[in-house]
Amino acid sequence: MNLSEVTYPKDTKYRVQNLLVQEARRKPNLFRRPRRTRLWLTTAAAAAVVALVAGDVVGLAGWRGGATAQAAEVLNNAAETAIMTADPVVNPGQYLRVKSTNVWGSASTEADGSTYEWLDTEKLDLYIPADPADEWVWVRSGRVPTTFFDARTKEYVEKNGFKPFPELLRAPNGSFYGSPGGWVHTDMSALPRDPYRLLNSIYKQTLGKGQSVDGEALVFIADLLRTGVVPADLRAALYKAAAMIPGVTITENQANLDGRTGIAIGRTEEGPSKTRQEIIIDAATGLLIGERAILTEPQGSMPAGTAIGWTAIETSVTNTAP
Amino acid sequence: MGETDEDLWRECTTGNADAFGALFDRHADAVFRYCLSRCGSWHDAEELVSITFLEAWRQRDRLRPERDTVLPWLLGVATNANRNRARGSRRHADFLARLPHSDPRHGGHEADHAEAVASRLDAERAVRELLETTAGLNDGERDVVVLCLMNGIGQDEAARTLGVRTGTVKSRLHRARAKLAAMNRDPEPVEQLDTTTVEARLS
Repeated sequence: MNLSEVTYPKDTKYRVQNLLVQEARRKPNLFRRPRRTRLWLTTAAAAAVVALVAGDVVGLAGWRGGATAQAAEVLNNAAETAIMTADPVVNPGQYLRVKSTNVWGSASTEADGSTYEWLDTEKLDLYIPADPADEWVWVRSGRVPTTFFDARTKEYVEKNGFKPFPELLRAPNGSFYGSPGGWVHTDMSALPRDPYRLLNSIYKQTLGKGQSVDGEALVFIADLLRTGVVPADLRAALYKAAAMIPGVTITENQANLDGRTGIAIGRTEEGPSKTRQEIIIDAATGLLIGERAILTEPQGSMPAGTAIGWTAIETSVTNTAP
Repeated sequence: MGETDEDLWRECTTGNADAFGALFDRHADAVFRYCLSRCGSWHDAEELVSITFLEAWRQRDRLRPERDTVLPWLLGVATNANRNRARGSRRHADFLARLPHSDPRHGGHEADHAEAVASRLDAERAVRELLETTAGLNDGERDVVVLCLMNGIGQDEAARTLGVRTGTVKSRLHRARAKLAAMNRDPEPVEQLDTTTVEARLS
């Protein structure tokens, strides 16, 4: 008897597949970081705007206002810092090391409809060689359940044995998991360095996604910044572009992220996702501390104000990689 | 070439049920073999497969979608599902009630039935014999024997399934081989492997 010849019986397989697909349709997707999934445009008029913007007929940047004066000042200072502080030089044989602490939301639904929400922490440590064609090294702690909002969820997570999958990955060109584009999915060389044109190009890529046109543009900027590998000229342009987004404002003067304190700049959303995307900047140095998504209304066991996802990054140059 | 696991999983995380169905189609056989080799019962293994995929759907936000294959993760879910079998079955009772078990006695030709029944019994017996040989191993060692030797899963993938380092899988396999050899009960790998392949897998 050879086990490798055993297959799941066809009749069962077919029925189970149907039942699973039905079940999957029935269960709503409960809790994820709001990313580029929700359509906010519904009317034909809005679709026409998309066509005009996407066709370069109309640009959304510039004529609809911008960030508040205080937020714009912080962002423009950060842009100045980015330009003044040259990127660290990575000599042959050395690595650019991007260390980050990341918090991700997790949720689970039981058959009786009861839901559990908690937060996982994942430490990432990425080593990028001087020549990107060489081998990159990525140490991932896996997602460790770290934050619970009630005892019942803690017990549930412990009982079900949710556990991290630590990984040590190596790949030339950063092509981890066999993905040819590497782990950053945006081609940064193709993005304009002029803030106005950059913001228009961001709108074109994010239009129709996320909870609002301006909210999603800020999410795009935060997503890119948190990779920790954005070159200084683009970083400066991203800050200036954020300063041009209507509704962007200072949301907290003393925001704490992973033990560091900075100014949080975000945009309050009225869309369905009940979250606010923020970028956190060290006011003294103008350097980026990280980004986070804040819950603006309670969700399940999580109170309003909970950071349901955040990333704090630190970059340095090292001579060795694990 | 169809969509990769990564593409499909990305779809799943946005709530696409059909993408989930496609992933099920792709991995159901491998998950079933693993479940069978875990519990030794054809009937229970059929149930365990559906519990595994139900749990996978519920936990879909826990997996970042950029992996090349989701199979190691699915096997990890199956491992937990098997450990929590009594509780899991209760929890998924209303789903399992709708689940038909394949029954070789219905439909088709008589001779085929007899053959199907015989091959199932064969498979169950073979798995139970293999599991008996692992009686002297601890749980961690049994995990890697079932994954790597009985199911032909690579060491890196097995490490991902179990949430341990590849080095841990290697050393557990090494210890398991030593114990089994001492008991003179080395389980035969499922594939027709020549010695060098086995050595490579165990090194």
